[in-house]
Amino acid sequence: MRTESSKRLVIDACVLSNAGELRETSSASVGTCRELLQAVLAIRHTMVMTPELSAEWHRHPTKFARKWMKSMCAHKQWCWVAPAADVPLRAALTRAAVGDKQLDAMLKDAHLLEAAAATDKTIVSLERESKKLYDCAAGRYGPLRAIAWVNPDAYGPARLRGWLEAGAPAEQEMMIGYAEKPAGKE
Amino acid sequence: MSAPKDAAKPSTPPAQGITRITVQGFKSLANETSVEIRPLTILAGANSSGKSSIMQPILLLKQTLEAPYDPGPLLLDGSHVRFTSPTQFLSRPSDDREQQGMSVGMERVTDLTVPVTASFGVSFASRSRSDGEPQVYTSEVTYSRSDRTGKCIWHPVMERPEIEALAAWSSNPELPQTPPSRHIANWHVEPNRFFLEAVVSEDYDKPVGGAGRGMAVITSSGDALQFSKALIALLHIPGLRGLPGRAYPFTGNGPQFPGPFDPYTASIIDDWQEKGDGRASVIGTHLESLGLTWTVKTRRILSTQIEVLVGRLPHRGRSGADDLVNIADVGFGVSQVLPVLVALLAAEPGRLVYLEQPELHLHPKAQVALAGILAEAAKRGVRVVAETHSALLLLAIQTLVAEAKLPPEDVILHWFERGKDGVTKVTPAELDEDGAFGDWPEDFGEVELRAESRYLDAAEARLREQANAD
Repeated sequence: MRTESSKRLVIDACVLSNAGELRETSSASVGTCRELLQAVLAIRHTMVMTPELSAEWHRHPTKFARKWMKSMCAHKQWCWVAPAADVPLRAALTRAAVGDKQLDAMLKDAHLLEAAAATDKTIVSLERESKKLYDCAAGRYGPLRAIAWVNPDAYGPARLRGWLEAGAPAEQEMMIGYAEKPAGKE
Repeated sequence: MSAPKDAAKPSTPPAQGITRITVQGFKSLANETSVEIRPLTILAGANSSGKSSIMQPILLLKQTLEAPYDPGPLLLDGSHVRFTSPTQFLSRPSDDREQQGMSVGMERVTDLTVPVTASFGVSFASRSRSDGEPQVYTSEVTYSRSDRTGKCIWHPVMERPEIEALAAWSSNPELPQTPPSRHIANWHVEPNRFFLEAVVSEDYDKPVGGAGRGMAVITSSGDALQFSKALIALLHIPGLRGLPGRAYPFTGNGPQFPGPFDPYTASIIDDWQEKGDGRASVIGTHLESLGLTWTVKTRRILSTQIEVLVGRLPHRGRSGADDLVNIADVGFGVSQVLPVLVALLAAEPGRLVYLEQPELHLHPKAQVALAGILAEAAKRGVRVVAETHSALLLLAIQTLVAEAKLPPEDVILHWFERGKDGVTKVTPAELDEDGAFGDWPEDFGEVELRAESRYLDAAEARLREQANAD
């Protein structure tokens, strides 16, 4: 049942395509992504759909992802947003990037940040490279630090389920720019 | 991603026929449970969740009315549902209900120029016979109409003033009433099957309009007749349908079809074929859209039996119209879905067609196509009630709505589930213009995902094992 604590989550296409992959490598993320998506459906959270995400999802459809999307749509657990390009955000990313390669990496997933900023500020993505770059950029651009970036690989299925059941709260360690303080220092 | 709101919508005839069914005290429907009936009504849920139980009391009433003899208030062991004792269907009494009993209610929209919503309810109580076996009797019959204030409530024992008041309430434009005579002396209520009627008889010494004892019956108004008609008109395709036969007994062609509908199928097709009724060829079109066969023909064997022949191939081949085989020689899908197709075409607007598992023996592709056929009947104004376990049928209905081929207001979904106490709870849902049903506890999708996930996990484990072994 949908609860008041249901969140609008920006779920990266890589999570969906990963969930439906049949692969022999022992990637933990495959099973975790499947568990995560099933929990999102069962706990009645909402997925955020943007033109970019829709295009990405349709580019690499898997049977599992299609079935998940069908159920999410039928239960009205999706919301369509088409946020305008966030000029200050993109300018901040451009300033923070060291070289074109980094800039490309940061802009590639900027639509996730824009979608999150327009909804409940939570991204679920397996991307590590761009996340690291955003962590760096967050030092100079405060709005980035208000966005949670949840990498399913970093948490086990049980932890993710608990997080979703608790209403997907923005935990400190999930926030972009969060850096663990060295031991012994306050 | 909504369909444009101004998209040309198929026009559905004004609503008429049964629009709501309410049951209480029957099997797992211990509490009052009410379901709205729309042109396309889907009953879904787990096995033994109570889907059939919402319709079985209606079928009990139907078979009671259809009995060629007076079976008493309820014919328990009939052609639609079979019981041998009320203990088999009366809900187990809970602490807060002292007496065991059940009630059935219906609402219908009349086909009068100005539609009126009429309601009918009948309550049954049980008492023990001397041998301890419970026996049901009608304890109350209720009528109400949206164009009248108050209710008309009949009990087995009533006095003259009460009966007169009910008779006045019951004067109904649909049926002229017998006015009570001043000379009438004896007033009492008698059961007539599950209805209650007032029987008023004259004193022998003061006959009205002539010699001898006169008697008049004040029925419970024209509404009783109209509800009787609606119940008898119901077409029922049971979940267990017969094996395909080499030939079928010749039957009548309606408009009334006592008992389950499937035995009438062959004769109706034969009749349509004989009269050049276009519906005979529509059946072929429907069967072809299901991917089963392209035509169906009948052949009379003397005057008692009809052979049903179908095209050997799914589509018309070079060999043409003569390439036919007996229906018993093709897959079960054809013989199982044929009564469904014929019932939907035979039903006029307002008639209720109750389909148990219409998808029986159908390939997934055919299940998807079947949704279009159900929608077609619903758009004609037929009230289609389909009890289904088919996630594909449901998805195809959602798709028709999202494609603006079926108005969302013509569809209602009811999800049945049983609580820990064994009592059924029904959750209704409407579709929006996107074909979404929102916060409805449907679990088809989750079950599919779990199955898909389990398979992927198992297959991956195998692949990893093989990779490690290499």
